[in-house]
Amino acid sequence: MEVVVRFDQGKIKPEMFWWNGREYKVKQAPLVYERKDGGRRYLCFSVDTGGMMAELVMDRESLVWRVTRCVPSYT
Amino acid sequence: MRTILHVDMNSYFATVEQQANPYLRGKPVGIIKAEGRGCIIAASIEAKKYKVKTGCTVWEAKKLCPQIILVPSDMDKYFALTQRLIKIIGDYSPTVEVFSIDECFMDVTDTQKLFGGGVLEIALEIKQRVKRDLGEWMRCSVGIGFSKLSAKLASEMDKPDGLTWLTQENYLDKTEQVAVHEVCGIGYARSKYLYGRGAFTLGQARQLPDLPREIYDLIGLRNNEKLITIEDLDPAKSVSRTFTTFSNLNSQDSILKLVRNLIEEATGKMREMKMAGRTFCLTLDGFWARRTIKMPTDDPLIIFDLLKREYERNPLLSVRFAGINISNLMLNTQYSMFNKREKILQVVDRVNQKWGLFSLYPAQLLGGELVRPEVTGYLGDKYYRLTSRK
Repeated sequence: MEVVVRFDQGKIKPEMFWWNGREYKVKQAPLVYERKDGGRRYLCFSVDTGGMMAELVMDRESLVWRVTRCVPSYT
Repeated sequence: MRTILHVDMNSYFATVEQQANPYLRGKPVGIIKAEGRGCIIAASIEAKKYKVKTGCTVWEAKKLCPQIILVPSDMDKYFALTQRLIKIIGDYSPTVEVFSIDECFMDVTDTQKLFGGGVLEIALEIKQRVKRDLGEWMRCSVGIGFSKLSAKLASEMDKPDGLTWLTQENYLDKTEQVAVHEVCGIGYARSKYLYGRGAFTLGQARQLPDLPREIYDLIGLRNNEKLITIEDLDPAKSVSRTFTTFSNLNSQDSILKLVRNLIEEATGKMREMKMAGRTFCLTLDGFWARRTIKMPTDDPLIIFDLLKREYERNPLLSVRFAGINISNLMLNTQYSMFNKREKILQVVDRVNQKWGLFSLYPAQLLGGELVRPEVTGYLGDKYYRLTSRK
């Protein structure tokens, strides 16, 4: 997947991403936190795209992004 | 006189999920262990209004509140925010006790003098910073007291988002109507004793003559326990891991596979803490076995072989629960120059540290989902979580 991010005052904010052939614009990222797996660290972003809440995860070492969770926002 | 602050995050797991997903805010949310599980492990403030409580079955919760939204738990997410909370609290006092994943005590007896507004300023600032650094939906109740017990009771008295100050002068009046079971330390047996003597509130209990010393101290909020800081924590005395499956395991193979998985996880944790154990215990539904050996080990294969032999003496089927406990732990400082297994385990650990846990694992665990390490709500492995993995 491809992600457009903004680096602002030491923080990263995903702004747009392409996943499964679709383009999603990030309206807000209400929670950002770090997840660890052994010594590997991931930066997780809960993002609201309007129609869907997704969790974007960035591997801090390889800088690879993936979507680990998505739910429709009408819940 | 000491000044203790107790910070208690309100409906923590559910509120974190509402912070992560704004569409859940203001709605009744029930946190379940995983998709398809039948027990509510936490309820949001909105769900609590419908009397949905921790421990309810999903069936009961849906009966009480048909519109409840069930969300699978994500303990790593909750623990990440707990670490942020500990960092905030650490800015106001060096004496902090992490009581559980959503509760901390801090001793501000000396540090309150550094703030113009004293302890009240500290409490208000912490509440503001929780909203700023953890998220605008996150709320906490703060209790100020003269002991751990009084601070904890104070934070319970005004929820959500409350601030209560119990002093030596006002605590008798303010807590007169509080139910006895609300006091931390008065559990089922002590409550039953007090009810039997006609005391349902702290005010009534304080009128009783000849109370046992420990109950007398509890209802008077007088205990003088010290805070147990991260530096005070003892190295782990045991390492354990339990798991409940979705459905019955009906073959020896699948049961042993789960046992091996739990042993791999527990020994991995032990090796990270540079410890080894001598006593190994296996618990299954209706089965219990323990073995003690002379020399401590951290090798999962040795432990698995010992426990497998015990299991094969009485090979029960239809198992849903499995638990491993490794005790008699000691620092593992002796390494053999000639033991290749140790070197293999070291390499496995290095690969798993670099590429993620269970990147390398025994072939016995192939096929099927792996049981992976998990944070628990009461943070029983504080020593490991808060010291060795900084």
